Amino acid sequence: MTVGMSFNQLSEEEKMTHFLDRINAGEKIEPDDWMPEDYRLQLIRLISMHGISEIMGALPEKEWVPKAPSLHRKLAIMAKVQDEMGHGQLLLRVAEDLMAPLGKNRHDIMEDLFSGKLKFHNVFHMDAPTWGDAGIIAWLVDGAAIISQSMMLDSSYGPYARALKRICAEEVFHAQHGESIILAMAEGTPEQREMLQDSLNRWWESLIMFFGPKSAKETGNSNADKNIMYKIRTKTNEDLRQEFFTKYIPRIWSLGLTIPDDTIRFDEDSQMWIYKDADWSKFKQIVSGNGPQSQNRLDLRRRSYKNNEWVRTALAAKKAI
Amino acid sequence: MSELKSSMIDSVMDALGDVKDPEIASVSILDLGMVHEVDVTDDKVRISVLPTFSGCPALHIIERDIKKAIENVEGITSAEVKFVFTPSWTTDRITPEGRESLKEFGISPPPANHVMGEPWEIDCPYCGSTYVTMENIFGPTACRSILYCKSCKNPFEAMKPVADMG
Amino acid sequence: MTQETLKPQEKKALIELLYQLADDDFLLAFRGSEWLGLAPHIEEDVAFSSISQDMMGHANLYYNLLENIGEGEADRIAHLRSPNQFRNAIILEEVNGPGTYLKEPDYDWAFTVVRNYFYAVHKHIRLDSLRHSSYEPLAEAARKIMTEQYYHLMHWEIWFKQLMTSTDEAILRMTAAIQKVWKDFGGVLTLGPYYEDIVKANLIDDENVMKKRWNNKIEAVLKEVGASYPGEPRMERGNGRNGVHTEDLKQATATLSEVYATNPATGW
Ligand SMILES: [Fe+2]
Ligand SMILES: [Fe+2]
Ligand SMILES: [Zn+2]
Repeated sequence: MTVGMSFNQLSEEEKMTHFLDRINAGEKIEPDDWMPEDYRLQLIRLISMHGISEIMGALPEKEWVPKAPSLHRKLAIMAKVQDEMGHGQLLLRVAEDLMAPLGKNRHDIMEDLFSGKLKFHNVFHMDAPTWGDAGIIAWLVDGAAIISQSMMLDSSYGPYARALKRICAEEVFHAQHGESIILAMAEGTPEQREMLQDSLNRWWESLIMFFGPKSAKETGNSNADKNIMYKIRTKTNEDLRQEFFTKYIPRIWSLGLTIPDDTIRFDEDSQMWIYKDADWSKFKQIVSGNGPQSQNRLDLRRRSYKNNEWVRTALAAKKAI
Repeated sequence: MSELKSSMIDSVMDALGDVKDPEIASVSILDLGMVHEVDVTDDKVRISVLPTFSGCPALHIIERDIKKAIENVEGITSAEVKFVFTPSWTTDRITPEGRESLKEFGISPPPANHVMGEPWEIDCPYCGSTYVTMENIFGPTACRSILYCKSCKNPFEAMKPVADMG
Repeated sequence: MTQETLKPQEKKALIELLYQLADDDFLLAFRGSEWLGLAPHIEEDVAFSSISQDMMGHANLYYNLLENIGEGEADRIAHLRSPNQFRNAIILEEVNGPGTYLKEPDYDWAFTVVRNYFYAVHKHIRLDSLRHSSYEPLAEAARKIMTEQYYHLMHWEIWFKQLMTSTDEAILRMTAAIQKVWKDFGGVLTLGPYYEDIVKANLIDDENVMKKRWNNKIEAVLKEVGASYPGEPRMERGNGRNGVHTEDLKQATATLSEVYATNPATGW
């Protein structure tokens, strides 16, 4: 009798126990392994949202690609948005394998994005009206992404962890590119400094929101807790936000910039940052497609998807031969 | 070459081993074969580096990291970094160690002695299978492609072969 | 030849040629970057943005060669010239379609494939000749660029052939795009008013030789996909190598220099 046969004879409950034992022992789950339906759904939700956020995330920066103020900056931001698209492709590929048993594919991901069923990160719904925003996005949004993605480098799902290893390395490069923009502006003219401060003011609340609410009660869902149980992630939203503060607040201050929250301080007793929490009802509004740029950016995607339908049809016809 | 000079060059090379590719944390610029020449005169070192591709936006960072690494080399007070295109960087310059580190990172190294225009074979860096499909000649960075392994079902990347075209 | 051994007339010819090379890649890289997020599928977004990045890198190399022979800072050259100082071919500055990259872009994929494929074929021929340029720094740059451009040419050739042999709608759209590009593609194939000096200095092959190579290649490809060769490509809207341009270039340079021009003296 092979191992596979004996495994198939186990009850659902026994399979679940075996599965949890594996992930608790630090083993990686592979695409064809048995996994609880709920684990699969959590992964699909997380990875397709991550993948689509990479893709939608290229749009606010794209606005600044041609306008980047030197040849070197043009090259760097082109390289960055190009990386983000590549991350999107890698991640959607991982998500597609997970979705296949449910009879879903790439087309469904795109349809879910257009219908608003598939959400993307709050930060990419926001306005980016100046070059300072391009700098803040690369430095702090990518910085925040590094913190939340690094925690998943040990994710129990093998293909996701492996893709993240390369993705995170590139995010580090993006953050360096962002930091370099920020430094140039901080050391520049009063106008440049003002532009930078404006951008920071504009992005601060979005950065607080980036990590999600402290606990399930703000949004009424407990995906984060479940993902910790499944070892998809290892830290809570608040852990990550605190890590972000510890890493970036001193740097922001050392540049002579002001954080638009006069209550923010490090509390020695609790060893935690005290800060003004975000407006989570606003967060809910934003991610459900009512942010200042949500519909514009979705429209760009929808429009091009429609305009290029003839191309996809032509390619499909070639494949059919 | 004097003994002192050659030992200084050794120390510089050691230091360069710590300068990583800004987009691949585990591979150094030596592993990638990007260092062309190192020349020490008195307390000055001149290093010529071959960019892997012409629009590489990381050259500023590489230059900065080289200077930082060299700072700590005893006896050297200044470092000059020059990027040159001759000889042309090719994927054959990647060292055996570099190829191993790339694999660990999920990047399949390029074939040796590739001739531009000819097809090349790529193995999965995770399971070694050749049952792979090319999903995109162009990957997240300009020098890589995206592939998918049908055996272990992992997407992975491969370095595009770059050979001198004469 | 190196910078030191250039004679004045050769230098003038070299500068003209470098502007053509740089501006061609700069403008088409810009038009490519406008497509980001709008391509037919995600794989193409990844590939096309990679190609545009490479091309921007090539433009940057050429602008740096200009800087090295005393034309001023590369960034100033790229960002502060007025449109009539640009030397790119007119077809490369043309918008991708109705709308802008920020608002209601109704971009034309067929036009993009045809323009990029025809350009890639020419760029390959041009680089192949530049590898033996009498000006050594240019020859070196060309050898490097060629290894990258090889993948671009391959990419656009696949698109071109696939769409030209697919659905009726695709063939119809592609045929219309070929007609449109043909009207002005002659502007890419010319070396402009200083052509004789450029060739005399052995900087690059004679334009007639390169034109013939391009025509032969395209004629063969068109035949392969069952289309007819429309005769020599034309230059209906004028010669960009002379500084003749359209409104599209004005809009392009305004966008490309929007931030830099606010204060070229400061660091960005
Ligand atoms: Fe990314
Ligand atoms: Fe990023
Ligand atoms: Zn494999």
